[in-house]
This record gives sequence, structure tokens and C-alpha cells, in this order.
Amino acid sequence: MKAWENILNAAMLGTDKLGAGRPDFPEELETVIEIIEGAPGHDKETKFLNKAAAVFNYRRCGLVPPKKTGLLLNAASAEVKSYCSARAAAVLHTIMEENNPALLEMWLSACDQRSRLVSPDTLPGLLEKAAQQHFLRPLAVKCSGNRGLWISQFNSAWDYFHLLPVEEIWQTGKPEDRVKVLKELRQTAPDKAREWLQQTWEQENAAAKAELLKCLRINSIQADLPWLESLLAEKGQKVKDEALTLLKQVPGSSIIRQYERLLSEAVSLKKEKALMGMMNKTSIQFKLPSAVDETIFKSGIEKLAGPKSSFSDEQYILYQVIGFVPPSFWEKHFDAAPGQVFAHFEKHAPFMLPAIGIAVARFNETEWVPRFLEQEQFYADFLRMLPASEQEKYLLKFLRKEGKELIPYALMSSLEWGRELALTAIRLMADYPYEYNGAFFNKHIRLIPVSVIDSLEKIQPKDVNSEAAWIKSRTQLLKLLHLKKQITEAFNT
Amino acid sequence: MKLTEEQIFALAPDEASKKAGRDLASPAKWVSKGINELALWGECQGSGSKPYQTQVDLTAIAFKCSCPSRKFPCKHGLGLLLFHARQPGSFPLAESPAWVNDWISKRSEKEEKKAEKLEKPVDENAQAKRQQAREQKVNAGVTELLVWIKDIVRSGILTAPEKGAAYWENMARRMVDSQSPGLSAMIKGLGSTNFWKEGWQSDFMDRLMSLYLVAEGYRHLPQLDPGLQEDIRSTIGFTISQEELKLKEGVQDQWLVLGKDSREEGPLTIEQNWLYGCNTDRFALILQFYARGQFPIAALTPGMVLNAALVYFASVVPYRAIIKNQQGSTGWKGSVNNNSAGWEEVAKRETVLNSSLPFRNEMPVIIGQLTPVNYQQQWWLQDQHGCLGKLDADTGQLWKILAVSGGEALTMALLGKENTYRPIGLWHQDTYKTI
Repeated sequence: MKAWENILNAAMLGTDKLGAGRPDFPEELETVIEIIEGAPGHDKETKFLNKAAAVFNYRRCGLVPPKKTGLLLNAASAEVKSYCSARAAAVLHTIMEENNPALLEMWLSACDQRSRLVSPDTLPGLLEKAAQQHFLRPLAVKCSGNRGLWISQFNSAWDYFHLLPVEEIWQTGKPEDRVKVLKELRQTAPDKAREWLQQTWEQENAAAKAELLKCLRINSIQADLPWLESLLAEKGQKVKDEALTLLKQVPGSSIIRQYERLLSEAVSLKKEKALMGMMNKTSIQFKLPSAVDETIFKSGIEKLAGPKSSFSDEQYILYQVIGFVPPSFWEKHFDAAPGQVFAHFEKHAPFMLPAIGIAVARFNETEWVPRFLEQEQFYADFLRMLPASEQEKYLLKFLRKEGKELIPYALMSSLEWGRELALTAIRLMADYPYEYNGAFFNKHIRLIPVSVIDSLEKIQPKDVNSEAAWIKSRTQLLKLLHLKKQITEAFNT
Repeated sequence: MKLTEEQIFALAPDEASKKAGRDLASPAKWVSKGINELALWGECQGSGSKPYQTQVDLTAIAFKCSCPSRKFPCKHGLGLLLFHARQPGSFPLAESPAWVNDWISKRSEKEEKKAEKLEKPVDENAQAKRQQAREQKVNAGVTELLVWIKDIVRSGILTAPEKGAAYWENMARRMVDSQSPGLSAMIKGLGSTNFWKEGWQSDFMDRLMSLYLVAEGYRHLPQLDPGLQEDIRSTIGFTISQEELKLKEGVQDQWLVLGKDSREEGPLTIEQNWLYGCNTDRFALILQFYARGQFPIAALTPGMVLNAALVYFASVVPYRAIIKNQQGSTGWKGSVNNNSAGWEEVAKRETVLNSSLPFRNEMPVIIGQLTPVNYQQQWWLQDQHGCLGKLDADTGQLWKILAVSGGEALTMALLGKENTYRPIGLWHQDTYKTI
């Protein structure tokens, strides 16, 4: 308003510096202004303040709000799914206040399974959390419905609703998104993933090449071999190293064939007559040929066992090589079934058995796994090769035997632990409450079943000095488990 | 009454209390618990050997707990209410134990004693003398203030940002000396103008004009309308006995608490509660002042509906009020009949109110059929007639409005002046939600 601006300009200068000119006032104020200016005995400051007060009040009265048409936004489409219950919404609210992404993922997963939606007033909070935690995004999108899609258009941080086609991400996306896309494709179509990488290979820089090549570790196949062999001639050392690592995973590669040739010469099953020819004596002989191809050592095989090793240098070289050769090699080499091969090694060269176990895991030869389960050595890679029920049994056996060192492997599980495994692990954790603290349980709560709630109070650390810290960790664990329980209850009622 | 979780959290004195209260809202923590129409109670096992006895008066939400916490309500009170909100079935309907009965009966006795106190005779001569002495002091203070205001406009407000805190504080203290705490607060407000903001001159002059109008109005008090006289006196800081005020006739209604705001000024917490009379279509402001460690007289939380009689302070624009008596409280359910009002009606109402009381503070408005729209890279609320009101909302509030609206019209409660309003709550699916 012009009159108010005039007042402000005059106020900025001060009445001392005001000129003689009289600013314009609205017609409706003219009479009032004349009365003020004509008031006897008033100094110029009083007159200015009175005029300013009149304009101040005039400005605030009779305001006309602006009127526009055509501004309305397209409304969000109606929802197909129903909103979650008030109880589930309350649990979500608590989880968001707790700032626990693991519980939030569980809540969203339960919500999605029940085909429910997050209530609109909780949406912004959820979308913000998903903007920060990428792994929550797919579930957040599913549980946000049309309202979420609608509101995402106003906030660039929530643009994850509009996913580009995977091929476009592969061609134009950020490095981390490209790696993700390639890994996903490799899971379902390994040939296609390799072809995509081959198509862009020449345009990638050395660092990207090495990083993208790592994606081929998933589902390594024979068809990769020709290209991977050609990569050994690449300039970048990191690329060459990665290509070699991949070649060591695929039976039939030049390097594995080279290892097999070495083992054919160096390892033999000897059958001799003993006790005047009345009995057969079998042994496994390990003897490196007089000249070993130097490329074997360039491929990563160490020559020396080290001063503290129980292996001789020769045994150590062979131990490493055995770990890189598919176990099926021994079936041909010893002309024996897998069970017989295992028995020979177990009886005549038990120190080499772990190398066979490593090869079993490396080449995913699952039929060999059961033979190793009764062994005293723990093979972490077998966990992914075993069915869920067997995994837990296998873990439990070694958890009881070897203690907390096994906990990291238990944490790799994609499924919630059974009650027995969970209680065994928590008993071990109680002795190290500073390591297994509230933050630890916040992160891994998905693994711990609600069924342990009643037994937690009885778990105490062996060291009395750890008791206070453990009680703190346990309290947090209990709180999380109660929330986990509430999630289930909220979606089951 | 049964409060929602959101309403219970609104009662918490701070974030830490909310978190602690949430942790206590589970059955494992409560040794005993119960409910009846008057009270909700429970015994919470804390770190001590004896459990804390926590009780909530349900007729006019009030708390008591045997824990040593100075916070009000304490985490046990919040936890108990939250636990009840989440799992009402876990609370058996029972006769309240002796420790609950004692407290409830003491609360009623206290009310009776207050009434008795009022009946005691007052020495009117002494009161008149005290009043006269105060008015003399206020007169002197107002004269000094007007000289100070003239000094500001004489030298120009250009240098106001450079004056420093002491300049404003000194004058504010002078007003305290002259027993004009209201003027003192207005001067502090003038000094707290955001001088870094573009256009601060207008904000500053708005505050200066309000101060000038009050001071000048006091000099001409006898010539003014009696209602306006009361407005000026109360703005300056003359207090009115709330007990005497309660003797006046109240406005009985279902009062919905639209919003709440607390701020600390020195050792004092000032709590503003904006209420809306659902049947009378009137607004009211309940101000509560309490020192740190003390409790407000009424525990009000947005979304709560008080079945109460309010008495308005005398004013040309009756707005500030006190609760005369409260018969109970419930949660809000349903919509509000304000669908025809729009920005033009708001502007008209503002004109009427401003012309009656030019230095008045912002009052709430309820407008139906408001749709958030984006115009000239700003968010506005458009009414059903196409008129726009500028939305003064922080990012969190804006997203919440957009998410609830989804592009559809909403009924909203807002606070503001001229053409800029900030949202305090909205109606969605027959529920009132604060923003």
C-alpha cells in the first residue's frame, strides 16, 4: 500500500529530516489527516505518529484477498487399497519416533503383505525416512498408494516413485545404481548381464570396469569364460586381478585347467599290498613336480607356508591349489565316487580336507556338503548352500562349541532365528554388553524372534561387572521385541 | 475422557518426557492399574523399592505422581495415559484405592476453599489507595514511553537495528518500574524484530504503532468506550482478579482446543490455548502462566473438547477468557459447521475487529473448503470462491497439509493477520488433527 510505504520511508528518515512536502493519503483518510495536522499544540513527532497510526489501521481494515482461477492441482487418484488400522498407525508412529529403520522395514513389510496403506498424515515422515534409507524405498512406495505418488511430485527428494527402466538406469544412471541394476540382472539373466557389460566396456574407465566386473561373481557361468580370458590382456591391473578372480570360480577356465594339471602330477592315490600281500594299503601321495610353472604363483598361489604353519611349503602350495579345483576333479582323478574321495582324504590326508571344503563352497557343489557337516571345522559358506532348517542346526552346533566368534555368521541369515538359536546367541552376547549394545539390537532386531521375550529376564552375564551394561542392552532389546510383537498384533487383528 | 496418542504427547513438557513416557506404556512396567469414571491410576515399578503411585483425574485432566520428578506431567503420568490409550482393555473398571480417593477429594476441597476465600471481606479503602498509587506510576511511565517513541521517530528508524539489546531492555525495565509489565513486553517485542529480514521496517512499525496506540490510548482513557478502556488497561498490565471474573456469567459450550503454544519468559512459562465454541461459533484464548516446576491450572491439549463455561475478560473484542467451570472433557469426533466462510468473510471480520481494537493480537479463524495451491512459487490456501490466503507454514506443516489434502479441499483452523495465515489444525475423516 502506497500510503504505508510513504509512512515507512518517512519513519526511516526521521521527522527531523522530513521535507516540507505532504505525501498522498487515501481519500478516505483525508479528513482524519487534516484533523491531525490541524491539531493545536502537537509537535511534528506526535502528528507523524498519529498519521502513521491512522494509516496502520487503514491498511489492516478492508483488505481484499487476491482471487485467481485455474490454480487447482490435479487431485490424487482414489486409493484402491484400504488404510491401515488406527492401532497399526500408532505402532508406526512409535517406530518412526524410535528412528529404527529395521523395525520400519518390518512394519512396511507387514503393511504390504496385508495390502494396506499408510495414513496420509504419516506419509511425509515415511517418505522422508525412505529418502534417507534407500532400502526402504520399494516398500515405502507400495505402502504410500496414490497419495504418496501424488505428493512425491512436489519434493525432489521423493522422486524415487518414478523409477526409470532398468536399461535406462544402466545406460545413464549413477555408478552405484548401475552396479545395483547389473547385480539384479545377473541374478536372473547372467548372460544378458554380461552382454550389457560387454556393450559398454570400452566406454568405462578403469575403476568402473573393476567395480562392474565384480558383479559377475554372482552366478558365474561357463559362457563367461571366453570374455573373461580376453580380459587378462587388459591394461588395468585391478581389472586383470578381478578377471583372474572370476576365472578361478568357473570350472574349465585356463587357470583352473592349469591347477588341475598340476594336481594330476602332484597328487596320487597309491594302493599297495601290505602284510605279505594279505591286505591292501592305500595312501595319498603329495609330491610337486621338479619344475612348477611360474604362472601358477603369479595367479595368487603363495610359495611359502610361513614359520608358524603346520604345513610344509610343498603341502601349502597344494592345499591352496586344491581349494581352487572343483571337487568333481577328484572323482575322475581317483576314479572314485564323491563318498570314496571324501573317505580317502579323511583317512589318508585329513589336513587337506578343509581345502576340499573350500572348493565345495567355491564351486557350489552342494551334493558334497552333507559329508562335511559332521566335521569339526566350520565352513561359513555352507550356510548359504543349506536349507533353512539345516542352516540353523549347523550354526547352533558351532555356536555352542566356538562361542561368540560365530555370531557374525549367524547375523548373515536372511531369516528370523529360531528360539533356540536366538537364546544361545543372546546368552553369549550377555557376556559382551558393550559390543552387543542397544545400537546392535536396533540393527539386528529382525533376526530375534518375539518368542524369546519371556526368557530374557533370566539371561545374565557371567561377569558381575557387566551386569549393569547388559541390563541396559536387554531393556532396549525388550523394547524392540515388544514393538515387533505389536507390529504382528496390529496387522493380525 | 479418552485422549489420543497425539493429544497425550501434546501434554508432555519436552521431547525427553515423550520418549520416557512411551517406554512406560507397556504392561510390564505397571504393578497394578485401574480406571473408573473419575480417575485412572496405576503403580509403576521404578528404581526405588516401592512402586510410584500415578493418578490422572479424568474429569479435568490433572496428574499426580509420587515420583520425585519436577516435570509436569511426569513420564509416569504420560506413560499411564499412553498405555490406556493403546490398551484400554488392560485397565479393569474398579473402585479407586484410598490413595486415589484422597487426592480426588482433596482437589474438590481445594475448590471449595477457594470459594470461601472469595467470601472474605476486602478492605476497599486500602485497595483504592493501592490502585491510585499504581495509576500514578503508570501515568509517569506512559509519559516517559511517549517521549521515547518520539525520539525514535525523530531520529528515524534506520538506525534501529544498530541500537543493541541494552537500548530496548533499559526501556522495558523502566516500564516494569512503572508497574506496566504489558508495555514492557511490547517493548521487548519491538526490540526482537527480525532486523535481518527484508521488509523489517513494516514489522517494526506495526509493533511501534501498537505500542503508541496503547500508550496514547491510556492518556485519553476516560474519553474511551468502557470496553476499550479495559483492553488498554489489561494490555498495559493491570490485572483483574480471576476469582472475581469467575463470578460473572459464563458462556457455556463445547470448547474445542484448536491449538496450544508455550514459551518461556525468564522463570515463567506462558501457555496460550486457542479454543473454539462449537455451538456459539466463538473463539477464546486461555492464557496460563506458571513458574518452572509448577503446573498449569488446566491441562489442555489440542483436539480435546471441554464441556465448560468460559468467562471472557471485558473487551471491545471479547477473546481472552478463563474457564469458570468444567463439567468434563471428550475427544473431538465429527466435522465443524464452517463450510461457507472464505477469505472475504475473514477479511471483513478482521476489518470489524481491527476498527474496534487496532492493537489486538491475532485470532484464530476456521475456514472450510480450503485447497493448497501453488502460485508464483509460493503455497497458498484457496477457498471455494477462488480467493487466496498466503500459507505461512514450515516444511513439515506444508507436507502434512498436502498429504492429508491430496489436492482436495479441507476445513482448517488458522492463525494470522491480514493475508498471511499459519495452520494450527485441520479436520480429516471426522477427526481434528493438529499441524
